[in-house]
Amino acid sequence: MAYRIFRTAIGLILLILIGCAQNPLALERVVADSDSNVLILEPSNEPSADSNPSAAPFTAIESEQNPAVLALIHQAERHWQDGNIQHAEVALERALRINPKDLKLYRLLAELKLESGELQVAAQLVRKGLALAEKKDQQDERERLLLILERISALSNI
Amino acid sequence: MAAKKKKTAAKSNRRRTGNTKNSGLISRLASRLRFFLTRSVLVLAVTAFVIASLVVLWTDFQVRHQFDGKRWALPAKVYSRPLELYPDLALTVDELETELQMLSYSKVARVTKAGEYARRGNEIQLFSRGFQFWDGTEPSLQVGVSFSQERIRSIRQLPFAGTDMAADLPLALVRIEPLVIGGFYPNHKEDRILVRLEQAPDLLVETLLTVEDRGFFQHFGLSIRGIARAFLSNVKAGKIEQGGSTLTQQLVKNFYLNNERSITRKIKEAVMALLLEFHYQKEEILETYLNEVYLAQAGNYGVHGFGLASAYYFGESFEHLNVPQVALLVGLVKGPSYYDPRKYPQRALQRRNQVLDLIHAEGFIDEIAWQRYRRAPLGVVENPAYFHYRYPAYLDLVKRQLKQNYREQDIHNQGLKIFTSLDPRIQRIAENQLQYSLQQLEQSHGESLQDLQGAVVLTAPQSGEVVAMVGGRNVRNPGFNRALDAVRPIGSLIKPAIYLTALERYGDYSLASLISDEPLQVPTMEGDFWSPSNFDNTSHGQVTLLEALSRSYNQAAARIGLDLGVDQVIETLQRLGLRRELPAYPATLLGAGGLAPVEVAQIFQTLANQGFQQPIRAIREVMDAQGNSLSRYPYSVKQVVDPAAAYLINYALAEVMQAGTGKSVYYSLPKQITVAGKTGTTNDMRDSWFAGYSDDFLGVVWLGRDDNGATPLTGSAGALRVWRKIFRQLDPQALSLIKADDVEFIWYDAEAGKRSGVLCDGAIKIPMQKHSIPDEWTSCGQGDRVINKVKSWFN
Repeated sequence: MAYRIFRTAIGLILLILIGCAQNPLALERVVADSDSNVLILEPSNEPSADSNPSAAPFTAIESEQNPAVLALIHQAERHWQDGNIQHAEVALERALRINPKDLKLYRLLAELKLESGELQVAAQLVRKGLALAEKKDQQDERERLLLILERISALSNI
Repeated sequence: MAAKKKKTAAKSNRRRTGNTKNSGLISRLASRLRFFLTRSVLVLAVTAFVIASLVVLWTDFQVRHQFDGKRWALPAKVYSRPLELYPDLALTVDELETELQMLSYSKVARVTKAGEYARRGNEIQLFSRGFQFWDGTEPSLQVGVSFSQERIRSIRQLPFAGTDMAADLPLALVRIEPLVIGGFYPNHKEDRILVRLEQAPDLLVETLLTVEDRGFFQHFGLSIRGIARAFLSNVKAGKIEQGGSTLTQQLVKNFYLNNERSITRKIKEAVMALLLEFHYQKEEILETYLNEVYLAQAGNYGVHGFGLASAYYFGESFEHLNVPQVALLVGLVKGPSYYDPRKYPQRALQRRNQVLDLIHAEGFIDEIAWQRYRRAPLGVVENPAYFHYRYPAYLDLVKRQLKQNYREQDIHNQGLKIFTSLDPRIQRIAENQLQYSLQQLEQSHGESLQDLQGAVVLTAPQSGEVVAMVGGRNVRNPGFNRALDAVRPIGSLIKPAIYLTALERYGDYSLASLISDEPLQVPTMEGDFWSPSNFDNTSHGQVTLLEALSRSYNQAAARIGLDLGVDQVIETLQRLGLRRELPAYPATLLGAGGLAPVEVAQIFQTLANQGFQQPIRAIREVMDAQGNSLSRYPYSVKQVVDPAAAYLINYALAEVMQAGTGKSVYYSLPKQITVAGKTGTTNDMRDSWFAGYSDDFLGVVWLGRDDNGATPLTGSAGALRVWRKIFRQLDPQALSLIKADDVEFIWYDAEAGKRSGVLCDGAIKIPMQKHSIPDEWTSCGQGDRVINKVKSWFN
């Protein structure tokens, strides 16, 4: 009897673990119409973003963001890929006006400033982001910000 | 006899000789006269020729110089923020409709082209115009925006003719073009939007030439036939009815000359017209004409060119004019004031139809179209999306910021496009509430309060962008801008800087520190004493720092300020963003120093942004007349206050609003909307101040009299009243303070100076920086001490 209960419990635990490994939701994503700046919402079956803090700036964007903010982040990413850092910054600043307490926006802006060589500006943006990190579910983003601060510190000492 | 004959002959001879002599003299004289006259005429002719040549050469130089070089000094255009629409944006359907009306969108039953919108209950369908922004071109889109509970519920792109869209597409974000809120004009006060000939809509050129100059492409600047026709017509009428001027002559008159009617001017005009035709192609002259012709008067400013006239009359871009619109604009050339469609719609309609008749007779439009166009209304928008100097205080701020990077002449003449953060909706609220409140206050106080003035500055605290500015009760008056230039003692508005200086010294001060609110005397340099008193003329003994700030006790503030050092408080103000020098006198601690409202906004901006300083700014980007990016004012932030101290001072300023001098704010705002702020009142209540903020807006309001006379208004009774009425309409988000990692909420017994427990008498729950938390506990609090210890094992 005890063995049966134990076996059932193990099975339940395994099921729970398997369930957690699945992509939980079909999330919305934003795509840009290639001919214009029109930003369209459509469902996505892609897995949620990689949370490796050391990846390129525009990864690790969770899809449950405000769609407008997400749209502007994607626009910023396009500009960044085209080498147009200033336009990427403008897109992120537009996003900040919509959601001024979004940590990842400060992190992305800091990354762009870092790429442009503006170390002090990047550091201040990181500090601003860190000052806004309060909730436990923002710890990943907080870690990414701290990593940027470490990189800035290393670059400043060169 | 012979002698007589000899005498007679001699006499004859003498007479003949004399006559001969005389006639020779006369002929010599005549000859000389002829020579002299001939030579004089020749000299005169040569001189006249030389002078005429010089005049022609000089005229030729003038003609080419102005035509070749910078043809026009173009005014700078200043734009508001563009409205960005996205799902869940807090915006009502009425507010969107108001914005579209300000942009001169036409309300129609069915949307078919850019610049139109239709409203169906809680949904608006609009066809945006598209716009070239600093960061790219926003396309023209037909979208449907639906609303629910004062927010946007969804946005979809709608299919329209000419696309292969099968169904609606949900949209994440749509950016509407910004409103022109004003400009900086050249001295001649002309305004125009430059257009190219190839942009001209169908029929515009044909219509213009048919009405004004049929032989344009044949003549050489002057039309003899035209002159003759006009002459005959005028003789027949017995008065000057027709001019025989060609388009070239009209251009010369407008471009180079004035409206003086004289022979000399007409001759000069003719010569210049000939020279213009000699040097330039017909197409160049025509294009210049399209941009030069005077078509309207907008206040003090002339509307020149079809480009701007299209926007001014129809809210349309030049390329999208339809045939009736073209006919009206061409008809206006003859007399823009006489045929003004807003003042004299019947005359304008008759003139338009006259032009339509002409082009129909020429075969440019068919019978059916002609009849239809004649029946069409004028289609002139009531309010042009085009405001000269509508927001003078804000434009003043924009110009001062521009002058830091651009020369004055470039600001006025280069056609810059300046994109700002002004929000027309918020600006309207600020203006209306200031004006309304000033009237109400004067009415309720009667003779004791007259000639009251005010100023308002509103910013977005997370970005430092100025969203609205009002410089006085006459909101359209470009005169004295009190928001920028009324430097007035700030009174108790300085106290947050005093207490922030203290709170940054964790070991010495906390919000619960007891300070003395007792009389004090400070010797001054003049040999007497400065003895501050409280507003209620009562001293309060030992009070907590939190209470001293919340209730704005002067004696406590002066004491603690002197302990810290006036120079230290000033240094704190400078870190917060103050650039003006303040004297390091004791009286400065109670706000004797003068600041302008915008300077106060800069200081409180840093507090509202939790210790991060951002320069207050109005401009986002600047482009040149061709749409090339010139400069950008990027997001810039700097941490200048310790995070724990920033949190604590904001906590205290929220307490001011909950229980202190600012609590009347909740006559207008719901209690659950946490805000922070500080009142300020100066001696004899000459100045009434309030600076306060929510999560999304910071507002500074000043009220007073320009002659510095006394008023019956404290900060709470005056400026705060205006502030709360503004914020009520803004529907702000509650202030959400993010607690710094090294701040903890504890129960504290201020009198004992020890930690206490939740159930203990005299205990208050208060945030403290960790280094300020005492180790000792009251005896009553020992139970809480044990609980805390156990909790710490699990952290």
